[in-house]
Amino acid sequence: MSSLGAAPKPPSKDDDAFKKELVGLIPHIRAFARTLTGDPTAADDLAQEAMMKAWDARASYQMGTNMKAWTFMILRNQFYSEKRRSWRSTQLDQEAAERTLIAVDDPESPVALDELRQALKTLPEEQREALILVGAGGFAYEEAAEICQCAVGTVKSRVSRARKALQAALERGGYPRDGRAAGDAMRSILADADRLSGPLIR
Amino acid sequence: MQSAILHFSVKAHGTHEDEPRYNCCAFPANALHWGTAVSLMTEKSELLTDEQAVDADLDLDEARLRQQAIGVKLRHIFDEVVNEPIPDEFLEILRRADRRTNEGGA
Repeated sequence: MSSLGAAPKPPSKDDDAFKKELVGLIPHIRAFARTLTGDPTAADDLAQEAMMKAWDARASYQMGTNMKAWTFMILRNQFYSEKRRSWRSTQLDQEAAERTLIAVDDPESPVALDELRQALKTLPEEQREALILVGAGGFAYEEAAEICQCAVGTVKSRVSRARKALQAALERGGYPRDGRAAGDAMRSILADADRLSGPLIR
Repeated sequence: MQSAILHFSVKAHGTHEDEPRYNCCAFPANALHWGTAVSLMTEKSELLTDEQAVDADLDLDEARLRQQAIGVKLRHIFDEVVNEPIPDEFLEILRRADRRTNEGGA
């Protein structure tokens, strides 16, 4: 620890409260990163960077406001600035896609979820993030608009286009997994819907 | 079919997905006059044959079901990650950051 005379600064109360809330948000930050990137490894890197950025910027956060939205915005900005720097080249994207296929190859995981994961990847990023925020993240359109720094109407139209595109992609099938016929995706999704809607938390 | 598409686009915004759907051919609650209702129904039948109306209804049901199913799956995919235990690296990063702050290093 510190040498004589330099007594350690007592942890500030604000810092403690901030940290506690941030830790509680880690699972959500990870989920947003995972669904945004589609790749578990890249997602955790992104989530960790976003978490560090949030910690470093804690002085600019007002306690009591929506920290989840604030951290999601940081993560999103991080995601796009990394993309702009394009350290994730096409080749890395390919590797990421392969890793994901392995990662989701879990016998416990219903196949139809994989189909939807794959279909999500085909969406333009702006549609994907809007759909995730509103459709899974529990944000209102207005909050999603703040996170994405765009108009509410823009979020609404992105969500709507994303839903239509997903439905079309799932109906086309075309994800050659397990040699199953194209078009099975939607049927298995429908078959699983009832079972899954039971234990949902939200 | 036109009305089915409009209806679907409203549903697709996801605000009323769990509401019971009102059949477009249901007797209008505020039609006091039987004649009014009959003429409404006659008008409708000029636009759609019964079979077409049934088809449109089925299309609508299916479209709504599919959107609901996608919503359920999407939340499931997200919640799967939320429910994973937090990898220790995350907590370690915060512990290190905390130590840095406490040592006055910032």
